[in-house]
Amino acid sequence: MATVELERLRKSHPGAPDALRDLSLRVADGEFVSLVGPSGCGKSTTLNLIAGLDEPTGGAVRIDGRTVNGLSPGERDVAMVFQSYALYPHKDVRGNLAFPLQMARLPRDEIQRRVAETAGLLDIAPLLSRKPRELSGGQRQRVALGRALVRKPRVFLFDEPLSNLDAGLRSQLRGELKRLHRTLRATFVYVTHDQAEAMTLSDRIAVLRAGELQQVGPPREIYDRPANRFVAEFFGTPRINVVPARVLGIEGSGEVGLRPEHLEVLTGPAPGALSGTVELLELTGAETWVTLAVAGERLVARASADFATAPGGRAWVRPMRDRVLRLDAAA
Amino acid sequence: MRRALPMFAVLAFFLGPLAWQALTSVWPEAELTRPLPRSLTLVNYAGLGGTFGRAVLNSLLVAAGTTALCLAAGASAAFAVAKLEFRGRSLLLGGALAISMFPPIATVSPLYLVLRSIGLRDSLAGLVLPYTTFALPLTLWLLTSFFRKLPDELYRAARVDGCTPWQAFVHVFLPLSWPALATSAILVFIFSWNELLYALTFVSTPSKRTIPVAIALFAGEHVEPWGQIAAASMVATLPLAVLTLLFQRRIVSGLTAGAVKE
Repeated sequence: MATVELERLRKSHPGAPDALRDLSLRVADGEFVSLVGPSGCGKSTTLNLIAGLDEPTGGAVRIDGRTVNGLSPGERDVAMVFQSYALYPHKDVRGNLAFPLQMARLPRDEIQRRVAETAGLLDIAPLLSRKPRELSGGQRQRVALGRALVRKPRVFLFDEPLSNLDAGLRSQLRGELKRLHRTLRATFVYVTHDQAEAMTLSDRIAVLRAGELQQVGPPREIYDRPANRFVAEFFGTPRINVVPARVLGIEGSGEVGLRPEHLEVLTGPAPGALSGTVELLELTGAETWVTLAVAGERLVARASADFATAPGGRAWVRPMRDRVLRLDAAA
Repeated sequence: MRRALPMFAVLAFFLGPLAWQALTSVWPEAELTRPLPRSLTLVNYAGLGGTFGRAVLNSLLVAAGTTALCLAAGASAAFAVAKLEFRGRSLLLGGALAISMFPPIATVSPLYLVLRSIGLRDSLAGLVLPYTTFALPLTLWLLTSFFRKLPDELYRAARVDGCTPWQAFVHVFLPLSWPALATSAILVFIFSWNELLYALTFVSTPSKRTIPVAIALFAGEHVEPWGQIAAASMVATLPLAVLTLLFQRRIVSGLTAGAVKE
């Protein structure tokens, strides 16, 4: 297994804003790092640069301390799982799994052994002689995963691998990925635009925006101590409340952020509580998200599922003052 | 019935001449002036003889050679244009299109000089070469639009799995492109099978003539052997008709490949 280091990585295209600006990032051996951000933030570009599918305009990619700039993807010993699965349509599952090994010119019996082993690991042994078009979405992605695993590469790259699956399958495969990472102890670099996916899977998250790194850290830290407003708003559903400080009765100017779960909803006045008008109730089952108008600003707060004040009625919210985030207004 | 009538009209328009030709080929020479023959004969076919057999063979060689060259060069070039990044991609496509716009008659004399200077005048290879240059742009455009339709991620997956660009082409893209290859092959084959102008100009030895030339030169100074010409035309048409019927579904899907977003 291996470390991945990106040093001042830059990618520009003539006549367009830089796709990536001086990205430096170190992924430790066996670490699961997610690259997240909205589309066009440079996360897929970064993945392509690590894989060798694209060459950087500046900077270096190092795998295990060795600079791999200019090496072809095959020479870098990385594997990649794609959003559209990218299975070879004319080959059956066995052929798909065997292909990278054939390209590496492994002996036939070794190939057979590894294909069988991988198929067992992913529960796809009964599918081995099927063609990709005869598989369901979940099965296809499992085969794509298998095609990456079978080579025992130094680094695994994932390009939004779960985005094409429906919600139920997605969370199931998410669990499987996590388990797989633990079993293999391999280095995973995972690209997604889904913040929840990044939160649940990663050891660390790198947040990108318009080609620039915003923050790197463990999910907890990213969520609790976002570096700026962009990061704060990118993580968490519903979105963090960002309002002028005075609305929450806090001294100082500028804007502050407070997550909905850090606003306590009350049905009567209380010390430190702000009064507002209920605008919208969204019941999720376990809880209710309440949108209130407070001092001309809109706040979303988490209430228990049995909160019953109808829209138009009055309610009170008490901010947890120690959870208020000072956000850099410029960002 | 109201719909059948126009259909028959169209069919008659296209198939009528062919049917007439077929009929003429089995019509005894002496009865050609009668409204209908009293008996049918195969003597015209029997009379085609070894010279025409030779022409059929030559045509097959030239058409097959042209098709093979076109597919080999066209498929790899189209793959590069569709999936690889290099300078001048659109220039290549535009240039190919511009070349195919040249009227063949305008290139006859320069091509003649070129072929003579490289010693290919009056040889079958001397036909394959110019045919290929004329059919290649069509092949290139057809196959490029087909390869563009195949997802880029497939190419990236092949690269990550250890393929060089060439290996990705051979192991992943070629096996997927049979419909498009079949379409191009048939179109190129038909083009070189039918070509008359170059074949007539560049080849002088009778034993190296292709079918169109052979048929055109059937007519003697004093006789016009209509029956034999008709028989020869039938022999020349049949392989194409069979080929096209066999592949017609693929031709249609190949011709419209990339026409609409799926």
